[in-house]
Amino acid sequence: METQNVDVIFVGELSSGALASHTYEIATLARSIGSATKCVLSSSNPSFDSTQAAQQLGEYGVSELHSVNCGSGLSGNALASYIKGLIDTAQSNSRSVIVVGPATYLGRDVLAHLSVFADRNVLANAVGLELNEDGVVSTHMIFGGSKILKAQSSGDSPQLVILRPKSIAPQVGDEKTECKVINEDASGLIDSSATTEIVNSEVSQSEGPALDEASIVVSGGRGLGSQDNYEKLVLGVANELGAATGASRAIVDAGWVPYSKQVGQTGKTVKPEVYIACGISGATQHLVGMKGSKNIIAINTDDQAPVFSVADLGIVADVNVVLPDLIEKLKARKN
Amino acid sequence: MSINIAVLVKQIPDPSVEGKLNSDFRFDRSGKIVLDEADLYGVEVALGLIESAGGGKVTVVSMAPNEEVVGVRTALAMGADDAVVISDEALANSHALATAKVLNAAIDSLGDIDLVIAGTESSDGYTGTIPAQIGALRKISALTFATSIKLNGSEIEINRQSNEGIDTVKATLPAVVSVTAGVVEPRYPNFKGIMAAKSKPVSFKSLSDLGISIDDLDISQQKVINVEEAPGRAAGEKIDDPTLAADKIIQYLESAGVL
Repeated sequence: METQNVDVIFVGELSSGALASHTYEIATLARSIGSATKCVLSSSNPSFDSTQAAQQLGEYGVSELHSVNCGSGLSGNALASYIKGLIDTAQSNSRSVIVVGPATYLGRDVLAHLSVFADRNVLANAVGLELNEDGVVSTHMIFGGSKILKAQSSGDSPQLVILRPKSIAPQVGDEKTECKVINEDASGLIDSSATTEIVNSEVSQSEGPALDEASIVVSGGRGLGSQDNYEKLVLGVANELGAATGASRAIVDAGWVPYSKQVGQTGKTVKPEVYIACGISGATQHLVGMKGSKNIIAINTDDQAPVFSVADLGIVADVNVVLPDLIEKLKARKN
Repeated sequence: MSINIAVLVKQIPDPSVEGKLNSDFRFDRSGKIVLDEADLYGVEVALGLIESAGGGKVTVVSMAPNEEVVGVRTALAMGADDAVVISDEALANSHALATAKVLNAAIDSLGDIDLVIAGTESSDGYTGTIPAQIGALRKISALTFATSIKLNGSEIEINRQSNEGIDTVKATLPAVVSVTAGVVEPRYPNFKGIMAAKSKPVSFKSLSDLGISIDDLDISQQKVINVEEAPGRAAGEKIDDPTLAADKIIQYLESAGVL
């Protein structure tokens, strides 16, 4: 596959009304593999300013922003149906198409539906993507990030890829591209038997920054002993530091914290300046989600816990002793 | 009312043992196989819905090599009624879309299914697309990342995890739902359940039983070309005096420039 023949269509997403950071990451990747890049997103958020977003995307080389009305239901099916139309048009103009979506709730829904509509498999959880003479080569982390796998896909169009956020460093292009806003309605494209309706949206009252945007992440694991301790200690430290809170799979499975807080292979990837793992042993499933952090502090009673193998500062002690002390000292420091 | 549910489950190599790849880059399945823990929640949710609906049937559907049933028996021991296991050597290198098509054909073979339930993603391959692919193949509503499910007659309502909180989403049956982990407490199979599971019906299907030709699945569209060790990360300083810990952490945060 050759860059000059490739259109990249990617799924954009909003976070608190503005473009999410992974949208810039994918735009950066898109510029390196295609000669024309189009961002498609659901316009359901009333505070979204598409003109401003187009300005920003233009800096990253995006030439079209498709702001799509997906109706009152989940956007995955509608966006996939809409993107299928864009693929057909591009292919009829002899272009090859690569569609990229983020490994988020929305991105996975869109690419899964599109995979059926286009009858093509999805390359899921990619952390990198490049073209070669045979088609597309995607990079994936397996076994908790201990191994890197490369897969060769054919050059058939379209190719469908789900990219994990935090895999690509966002970077503006050398030149600004004129990015055109295209407003469309896809709400009528869904089969009537497949419609859904969002009847209520509740925004969680979390005081700190978003988990995948924060510069400090404090994560808790089973070593805390109870949900109460998680709320008192992990939230307590995070409050003092202005940090986001995360969790190991074990305590998500135990129902202490929601799935959206899970850091790891079956969860979010985070790359903060500092990651503080509290009472987390560091199963490979967890390490893949956090070992890209710039600095790692780990607190665990088990001297042999695998988390210490990636920690810059390891503290072999009980989190239930260390964290109350830390909260006190952080408070005292502020005064 | 009575409701028929298909629960999709995956039987995976024991995740507490370090994973290996075979020489052909496929997951090594020669060790102990278990029911993926992520699927316990789907099974529990299905059983709970049948109990509150006052009747119906839960059928476990799994695709696995060599007629593997060890994980399926766990789901049956929890209380599922019967199972379909699709085994076919031709599926050895299956990808997510092909797997979704096979599972979908197996669901078709069950007759009227009101609800398909799955976990959000498997613990080994973690692709996370199969529930929505099944929805698209069946042209039914795909309610993904559910944290709770309610049924009112033919209407289904879920709470769905979103980036910013929780959405409440409604649809009409039939539908497919993927459930996130930790939303219910999966029941432990008791002795009676384990004994009963041994005699519950499990039907085995091949691709030809399902009327699928391997050529239509286009399994060879991707191939692994290389696997290598990821760059490691060195361990740093380690201390074991809890009285020094807080000061040490504060010092570290200061030197990292975040405090």
